Amino acid sequence: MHRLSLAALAVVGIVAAVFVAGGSAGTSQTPKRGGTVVFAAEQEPPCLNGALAGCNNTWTSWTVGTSLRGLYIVKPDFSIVPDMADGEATVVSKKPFTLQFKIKKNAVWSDGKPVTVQDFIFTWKAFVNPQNDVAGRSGWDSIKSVKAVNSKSARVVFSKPYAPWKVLLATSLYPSHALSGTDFNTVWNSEYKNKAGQNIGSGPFILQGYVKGQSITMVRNPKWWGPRKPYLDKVVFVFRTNTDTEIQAIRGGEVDVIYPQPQLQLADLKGQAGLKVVSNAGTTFEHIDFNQQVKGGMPLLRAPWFRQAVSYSIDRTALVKQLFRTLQPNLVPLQNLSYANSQKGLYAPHFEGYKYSVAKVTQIMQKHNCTKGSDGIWSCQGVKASIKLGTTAGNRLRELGLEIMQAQAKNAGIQFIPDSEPSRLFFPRVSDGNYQIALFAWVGTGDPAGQSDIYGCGGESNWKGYCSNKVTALLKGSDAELDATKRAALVNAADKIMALNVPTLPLYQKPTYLVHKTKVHNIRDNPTLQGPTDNMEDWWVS
Amino acid sequence: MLTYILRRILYSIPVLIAASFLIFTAVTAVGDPLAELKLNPLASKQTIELVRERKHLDEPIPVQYVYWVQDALTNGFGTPLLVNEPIWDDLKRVIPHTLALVVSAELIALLFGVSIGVYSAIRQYSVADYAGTTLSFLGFAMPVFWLALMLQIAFTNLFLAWNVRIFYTSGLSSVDPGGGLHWLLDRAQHLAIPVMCLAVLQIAVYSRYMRASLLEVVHSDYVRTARAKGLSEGRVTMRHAVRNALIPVVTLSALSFGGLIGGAIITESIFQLDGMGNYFIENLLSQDVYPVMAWLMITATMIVLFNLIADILYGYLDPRVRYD
Amino acid sequence: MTNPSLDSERTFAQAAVAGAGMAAGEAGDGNLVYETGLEVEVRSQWTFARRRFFRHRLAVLSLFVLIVVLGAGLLAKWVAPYPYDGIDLENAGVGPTFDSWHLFGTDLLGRDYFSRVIYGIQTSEKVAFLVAFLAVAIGTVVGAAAGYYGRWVDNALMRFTDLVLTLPGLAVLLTAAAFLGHGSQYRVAIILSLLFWTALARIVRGQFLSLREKEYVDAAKAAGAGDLRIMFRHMLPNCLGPIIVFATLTVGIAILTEAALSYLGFGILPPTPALGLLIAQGQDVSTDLWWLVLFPGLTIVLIVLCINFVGDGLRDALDPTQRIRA
Repeated sequence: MHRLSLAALAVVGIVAAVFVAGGSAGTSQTPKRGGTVVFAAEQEPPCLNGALAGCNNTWTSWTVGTSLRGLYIVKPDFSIVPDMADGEATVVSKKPFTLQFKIKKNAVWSDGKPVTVQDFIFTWKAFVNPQNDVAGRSGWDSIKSVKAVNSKSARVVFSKPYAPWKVLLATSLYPSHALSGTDFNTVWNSEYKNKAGQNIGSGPFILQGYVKGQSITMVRNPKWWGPRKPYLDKVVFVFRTNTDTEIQAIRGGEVDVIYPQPQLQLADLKGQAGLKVVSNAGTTFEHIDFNQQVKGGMPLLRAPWFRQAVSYSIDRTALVKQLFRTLQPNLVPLQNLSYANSQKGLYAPHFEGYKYSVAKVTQIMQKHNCTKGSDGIWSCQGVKASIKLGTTAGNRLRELGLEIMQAQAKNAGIQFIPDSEPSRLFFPRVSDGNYQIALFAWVGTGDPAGQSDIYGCGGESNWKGYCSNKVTALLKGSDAELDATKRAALVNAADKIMALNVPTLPLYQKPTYLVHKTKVHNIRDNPTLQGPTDNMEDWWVS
Repeated sequence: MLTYILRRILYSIPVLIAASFLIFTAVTAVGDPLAELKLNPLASKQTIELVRERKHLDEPIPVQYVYWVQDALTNGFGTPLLVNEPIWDDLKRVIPHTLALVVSAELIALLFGVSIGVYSAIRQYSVADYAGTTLSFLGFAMPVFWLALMLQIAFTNLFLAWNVRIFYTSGLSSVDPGGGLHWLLDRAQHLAIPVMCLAVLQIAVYSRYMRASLLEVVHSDYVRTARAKGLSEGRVTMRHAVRNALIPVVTLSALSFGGLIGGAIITESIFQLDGMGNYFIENLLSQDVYPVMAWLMITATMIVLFNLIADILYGYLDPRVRYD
Repeated sequence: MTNPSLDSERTFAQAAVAGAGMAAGEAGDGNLVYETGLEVEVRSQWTFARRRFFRHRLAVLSLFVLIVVLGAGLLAKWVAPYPYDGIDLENAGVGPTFDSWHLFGTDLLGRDYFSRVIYGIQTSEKVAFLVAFLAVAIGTVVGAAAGYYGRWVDNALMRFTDLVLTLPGLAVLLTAAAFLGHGSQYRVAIILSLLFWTALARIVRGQFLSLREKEYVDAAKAAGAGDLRIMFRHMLPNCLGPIIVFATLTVGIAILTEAALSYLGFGILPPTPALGLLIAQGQDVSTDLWWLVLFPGLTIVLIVLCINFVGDGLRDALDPTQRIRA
């Protein structure tokens, strides 16, 4: 059971990877036309319509999601650039916030019909329809009206300023001529077909076959409007949920590419002939949350100085080194809650002051009149510094991390008591505020949308009971700030404050692993949420 | 006998109802099936509310149970929590995959287990007996997940060394298996290693019971009589002893057949064999109670049915046993 | 959870029926009878059984090995050279060596693996024996009642047994985890025993069904003995063979089930070491740090093998119709 710990939105979010270490083998050879690549997917999409809550899964967007393009697309360096849109959309007015976009003349669906404004309107209506089980409506429900200027151009009026509008425009567009009048909740659950029964899509590869429980087959789109025609005939995604199985499968050549969660077993593949291993720091990051709510049962966690002391009792550098020595020796701890350390110009290491220091812990504890017990554990105001630290049971790396932190903190006089459970029991407890310290991951997108929910007072996802009016104001302001630079400044200002009263301590970005046969060329890691399948038209096999 | 069968079937109904209510309560009582969805700060609250209402998640458990019974009887077990696809379609798909796996494993286990057991019994306390015992216990004592990984590594290394694909280490079929015989061969190559994993444990169990049963039969009066009559040892063994010694093994097998349809959870999950076991664990972990219940109804019925068959078989084969 | 398919009641019902030596009315008191001048020692059947057992060389050897291994587990505090949670990141992933007495090497966090295996034996044996004990207790009581009373009691109890057989253990465990606290080895043991007893109930029931037709039961009833006395004094001793074998098999199966549960994350939680958990944790690096899986794996195999040989010996000893040539 190697699931991602969070469901990811199908919204092709902002992604970035400055560390694109590059996965292409020699470009000195000439690409050959034809062939099939077998890609092992670590999770099976529960259903294929990525917009729906039930189908919402990173692998849905990495497999069939690639066949439905959006007006914009997210590049590996986090920039969001026009894809089906003809040039950048223009901000016609700020009050009310109005955008105007134009669709490329040559953008067509695989059945020949052109991509039009109707498709955008259909997508918008599908997302906001309350009867549709859509996973995320954020942004779509801020649109007040869409007025077509002509079949390829429209004006979008928002009811309030929506800062991440480029992310919104990167959403996959659905074909209105194929789907109008159908039940969005069921029509595209296991196929993407138009009304004439043909497979349809707007990407370089379109969905041809889906064998539930086994594989998804995508074939070359003959009408692909992009600048480079795809070389491959087919890309077949086969489901392999067990990482050990994936590793043997690629060793033995039963699959050509794997993109697994970090597992210690992966280190075996480094020396294997005929395989290339690429690893980068992804945008999903592990962290520990301190629960300040009363029902958590640890009153000391309400005090910022105590949380700081706990943060100084953990050696994040050693933790990362120990866990990823063989897998990704370059990994360093994460020092910011909103931006990945590869996002140049945005990332600011506010948390880097929290280095392991028994002396600092002692200093803080003594300053607040804490006493050390005979077992070496501090007691403050009559409460022992004995805290329950839980994570998802069965996840080896997390369990190891927990044990390492336990040992480190013990040296500094703080006791962690393991409190782990299978994820199905763990997450409801966390969202109920029924924990003390929780170790899990947030799926970062590179865009700070959603931070106000996690860290703002009364935020829906603020299960730790953290409330700072200043931080809330800054984050809420960032949601409405259209200027990208100003927005980043607001977010970082909030982050700086949070580094002081540390509601959460970021640990590290989860590394990504792309392992592929050297005979597959031009495939490269994209550690952003876009995933490594964003350039399938460039892949070829020798 | 007929009344006995009818009565057993009648009494099975409250068992199935009780099982369904117990497990329904167990799965819905703790946790929140929408928890993972809620984890995402950008998830639509509207959709979450919609699902809560449609699936009656806020009702007390007995009320939810009644809704489930309705759906199960009128709507082919209903649909999962979030995906709008009928559960029955999923079951139709996964059951054959499981049957192919577990029935093959069971038959192979019976074949090898019985043979090893017979040989061990005939040559009791010989080196062969001890070797057989030790080997079968080795198989018995190996955790299946570890054995699975070792076999996967072994066959992968074989492929790397000889460049010949003997068996596949995961999945149900290759990408383009072809038709007819090619498809069958491909499927067999994919199922071979998982079948080995499952059979190894069962061989140990069957060989032990066969050995014990045959040993005891071989010392019984009627076998002594047969020997005294002057029959050859082989005749004695095969015609009289083994046939009778098989009775407990056959009934044991009938009993375990009932449980087979539940699927082999770990094996199916490791080898990606889209079967009932995998279906069960995936839905249990995501707390999707309707698929779990559908799985339960099928497995519970099979278990109860095969218990009955085993009892009837035993009564039929062993004339000393009588049912009142 | 796959069905442990332990239903061996047919075999052992037959064994009991054929085991004439024990079925006859020897209640086995072992009284010494002295006659003037001639002292005749009347040995109880237990003495004969013990003799037969000790002639079974393999069983005796296995018993000895078991006592050593399980004893080491119980006395872990004194046997293990290091504490099981002594994290020493400098020495992580060291292979077996006589250096610093890391006989089984160290694990990913530098903890001495020999100590962890010893403590693992302690946890696993506590769980396994608890499971076996409870399963035997429940199974015997249910089976005896069903077999002795027959009729509707038998029917009701057997249908209850069917019900328990249909319940998937994983679902029950997951729910119990939420209510009874997580990772506790005792919770795991109790739930497992509640699911394992069914096979023994069927076996004992089968035995009692045939035994109650025996003359000595009628005789005891005529003598005014109560039901409980008849069941536990007269009939149960004749079923001990299959019960003992079941108990030994269950210990093995309990250890293996614990391993499977730990692999899935449902079982005993770290940092408490248990043999199955050690294998599950070492699985990920098993090609590099092979000792992480090998040693706990071998320990499980050794324990299960020995238990089964001892059970073999016990069964042979208690069933005198089999000629022992050991």
